[in-house]
Amino acid sequence: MLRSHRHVTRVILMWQGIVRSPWRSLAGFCAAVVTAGAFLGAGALLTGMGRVLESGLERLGADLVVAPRAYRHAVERWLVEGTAPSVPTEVPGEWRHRLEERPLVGVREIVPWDLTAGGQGHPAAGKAASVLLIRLERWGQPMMVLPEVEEALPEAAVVVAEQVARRVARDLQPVVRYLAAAAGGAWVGLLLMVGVLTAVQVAERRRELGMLRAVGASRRALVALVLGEVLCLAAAGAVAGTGLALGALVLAPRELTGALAPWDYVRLALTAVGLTLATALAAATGPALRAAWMDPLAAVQQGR
Amino acid sequence: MIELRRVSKSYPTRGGRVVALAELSTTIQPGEFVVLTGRSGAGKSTLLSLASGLLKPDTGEVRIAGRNLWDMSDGERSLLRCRTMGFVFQFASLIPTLTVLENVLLPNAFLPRGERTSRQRAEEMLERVGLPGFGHRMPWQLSGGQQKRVAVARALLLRPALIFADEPTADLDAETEQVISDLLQEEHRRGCTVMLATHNRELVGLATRHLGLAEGRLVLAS
Repeated sequence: MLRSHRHVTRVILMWQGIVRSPWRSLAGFCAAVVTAGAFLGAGALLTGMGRVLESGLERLGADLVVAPRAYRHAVERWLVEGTAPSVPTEVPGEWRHRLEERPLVGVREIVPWDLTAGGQGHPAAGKAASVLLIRLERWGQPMMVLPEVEEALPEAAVVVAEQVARRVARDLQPVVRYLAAAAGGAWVGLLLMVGVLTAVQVAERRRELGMLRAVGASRRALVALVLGEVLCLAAAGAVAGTGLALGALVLAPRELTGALAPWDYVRLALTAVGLTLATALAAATGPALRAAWMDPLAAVQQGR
Repeated sequence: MIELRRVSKSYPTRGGRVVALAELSTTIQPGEFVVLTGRSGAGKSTLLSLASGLLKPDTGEVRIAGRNLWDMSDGERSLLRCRTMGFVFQFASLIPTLTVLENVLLPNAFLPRGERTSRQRAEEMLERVGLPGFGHRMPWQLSGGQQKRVAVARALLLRPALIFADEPTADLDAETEQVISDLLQEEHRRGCTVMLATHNRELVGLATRHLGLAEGRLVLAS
């Protein structure tokens, strides 16, 4: 095999280290792909779930919602997702009067809301409404208002937004735990895999690394060489992993990721890449330092 | 000039520390051809490592041109090694994924940009070791002896003032042994200081000074 030659630089030496053992390099690359993908996927889903909940509640700005008992479930879904199935206008105007007659502490306004078309709904035009939104002053406490409302409207269902949010968060805990465990498992896997692969790589190239020290490589240059190889593979894997995860997130249910802004994806992708690189570097530092501190001549004589 | 002053070195083993060199002192003048002999484990390789600054002595000083090697930073010491020293080992230790010429040019990677030597010089070195036109080949296409010659070309690339060689002719065919022996003599005639550990009688015959080592001590200095 004939090949043209180049000026030998440290970058070329780094590249040679990577191509030397393609399967090992591929394994390191794949570990970085999986880890970055898991970090991004878990991060996006966790952030997305929290954001959906927050945005649903924020958009409505309702602290309590009064509805006919039959529509309690629809109202809860509306609070969580910000969208609801069709709810007929069965709340009579008289309900609002009954509430307004009472001295409700901390209530800013009571708004009749129309959900006949489902979705986010709109303020009701006529006297009848699908639900009544009760908005509180900033200092108002939903749990103080709740008994008053229930007393005034015993036939109605009163849903407290805060309670719904808390319940949903509790329901999501197993999912959160699963995602965190998946990301944690990938992290530990990367740490172990990069650590072992780099240690094997350094052990196999002992003679070569000793020779590099003898021809003039400083300890810092050797550490940079070993870490540089790891960093290149981890960076390529992390970029590929985040790319794949972003592609997979397009297929995720909109309820989970719909509230994420493009900037959220950029932030999460950068975090995933950063964490992957930091993990790979941390795992490879031990073997790299061992390479730099070995006795060069003894290493070169290895196998004598 | 290389000065070793009461230099000691020991290595930890399971059975305790093993002394490789014990309070050894010697001075090697510029242009000397020093041959180290002794049995395996006598301390020859350790002495070469200490004299070249590859290994730090437990006690004592190593000075090159008046400067204590271990007063320098690792970066300074490495650069000094790259600029002024050439190493020939028992094994060729070529990088298998680089061409022969790239392997010869390897020391360039650790020199400041302005000091790097040319490809032409590397090709000249290949000619000198009897491998003209081999630059484009890969190490696995060469015999063991040819690989060793490439390693010698690499060691001599930057015209080192000091050559350290550890068993440079071990396990080689007669022709390669002769090539290496001739090259070391040529470099010595050029004014280069040569320090080599060997069991080869012919190389011992080239020495201007013969140091015999046993159990980490100098037992012969002639």
